[in-house]
Amino acid sequence: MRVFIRQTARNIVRHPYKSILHVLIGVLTVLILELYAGNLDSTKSQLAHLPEVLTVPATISCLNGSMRECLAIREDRVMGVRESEYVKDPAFTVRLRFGFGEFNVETAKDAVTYLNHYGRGMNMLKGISGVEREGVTFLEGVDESILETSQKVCLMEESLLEERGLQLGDEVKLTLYYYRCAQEGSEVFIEPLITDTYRIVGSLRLGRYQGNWMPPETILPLDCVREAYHSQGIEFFADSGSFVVKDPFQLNALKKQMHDEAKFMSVITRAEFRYNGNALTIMDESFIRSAELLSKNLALLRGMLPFVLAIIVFIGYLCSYLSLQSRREEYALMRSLGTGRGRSFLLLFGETALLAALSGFLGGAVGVFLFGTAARVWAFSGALFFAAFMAGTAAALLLLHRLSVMEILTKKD
Amino acid sequence: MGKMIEAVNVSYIYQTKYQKTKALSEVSCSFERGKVYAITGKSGSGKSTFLSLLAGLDVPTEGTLTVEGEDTRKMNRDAYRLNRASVIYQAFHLFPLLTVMENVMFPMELQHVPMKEAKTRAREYLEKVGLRETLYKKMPSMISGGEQQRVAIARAIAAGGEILLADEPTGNLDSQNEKVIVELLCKLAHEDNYAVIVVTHNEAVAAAVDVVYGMSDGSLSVVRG
Repeated sequence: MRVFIRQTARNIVRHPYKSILHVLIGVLTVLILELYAGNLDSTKSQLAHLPEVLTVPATISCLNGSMRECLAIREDRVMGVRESEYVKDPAFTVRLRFGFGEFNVETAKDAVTYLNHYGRGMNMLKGISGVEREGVTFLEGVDESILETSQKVCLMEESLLEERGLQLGDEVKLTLYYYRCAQEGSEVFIEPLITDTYRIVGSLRLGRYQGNWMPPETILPLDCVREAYHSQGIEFFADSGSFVVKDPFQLNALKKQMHDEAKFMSVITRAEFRYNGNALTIMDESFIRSAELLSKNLALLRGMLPFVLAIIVFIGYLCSYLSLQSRREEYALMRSLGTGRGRSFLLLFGETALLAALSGFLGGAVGVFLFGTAARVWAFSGALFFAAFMAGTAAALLLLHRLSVMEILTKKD
Repeated sequence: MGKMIEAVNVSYIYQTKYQKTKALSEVSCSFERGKVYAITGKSGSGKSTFLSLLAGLDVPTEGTLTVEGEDTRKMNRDAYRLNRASVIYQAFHLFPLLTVMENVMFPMELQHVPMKEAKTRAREYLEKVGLRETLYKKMPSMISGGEQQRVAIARAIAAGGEILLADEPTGNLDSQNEKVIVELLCKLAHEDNYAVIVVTHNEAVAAAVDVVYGMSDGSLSVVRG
């Protein structure tokens, strides 16, 4: 082994121009390969991280798409969305009217006197615009996740708390009224829902409210409201709903599920207006366009891989072939002196392998300096270069083995 | 003295895709240690082919070639060339990027002889072939043809074998150097007991050896024995 290493190293040092040329060609090849591998890696990474950069939101609307709030979204549709494995952050709201204490509204005057506040049932704060996490002060030990429970709690607008002399932690009796759509979805009525006591667990400061309906003065957990509907034997409807597609690469599965199981339809702009929230709009255009573009690029780059490899194999073959042409006599002489075919092959292969490894390392280092190549791209390019280049070298060496030793050495100079 | 190498009805056919050429035809002869043999003949008569068979670079198509009773077909021919038979060429064929000393040490490196011992032995062989010490560190291109051929002989004997094969060893030399090399080869046979086989068409060389074979159209005959 020592002799082998000594002979290999000596040959490299004593063929300085050839060795330098070999390394230079190798470095250039590695750099080109790094550009290719870098592109491949970056495209793959962009595609993999696309869902993080381009989220795909979806909103429930009425059939003609003109309204996204104040709708009547059936409970089975609400639950279909909330329980879907393809959905992330489903946000539903239900609008309410409320007043403090227990009362009955029999006249219009009663409504003005008692039922003079607006509320919402929500399962997360981002269900309506203008409500931000920063605008809510929770009671100690309570956070936003309380909205995902069915506890009898509420968040109340700061000015209302002040007006009513209430504080966080207080319990307050509220009478809730709900909005009921006519069966055909064209009319809305306000009906009594429940009178119950709720603990105030947070104060609310609304930001820029952009909703179509009145800004909420109190927010109750959606499931708490839902249970109130159930306890009164009333069919539950949400008034708005939206979510984010969990894995945009499974859009088709989501669409199929929403269509087949939750019975959502696509928006039909010419449809007559109804309050029913039965259409689903998935804003997937930019995601699909970007994903298609990246996928095409990736397929193109991957398709180029065999050609890139073939070119490097050819470069390896050509470099070694040309370099060995002037060393045919050296090879023949080694064979004549008793160096076996295998050993001669390994000696010349080892020389090229050392130079190729050096080229891979230097090419990688130059790549890091010039293009800021990532370590995995460096490793990938280096390994690919080494394997392909050495395959070419092996082919050139096998060709050399076919030469007749005596024919080369008995040529009379 | 017993036969060192024996060829019995050796034939060799060069085969290409389109044709077959019979380079050797039923050659039978033997070689002993301590003698210098010459194989003479015109170009293309099959001398070099026969030499390549003797060197173990190829095997006969037909017939048998044995070295001390061992068939060359069955033996490890790389080991045979490394340890027992060395070839000297007309064009010297020294490694151009190794010094004179390193060229002589090369076969010993292959035999895993320790570096220090290889150096000492290389010195002895170079002295034996009459090369001045001032040349030891020179590259082959810096010394004369006669000196290069002496280095080639030193390298051949450095392997420690008993068979020296030479293909037109004086073909590139002037008459003075030719004489020195022939004397050296004879000395190696007669004093150090080598079997020396020289392929040549130089009559002066043929006149100096012990046995002369003539080769014509692939057939061998004894000219002087």
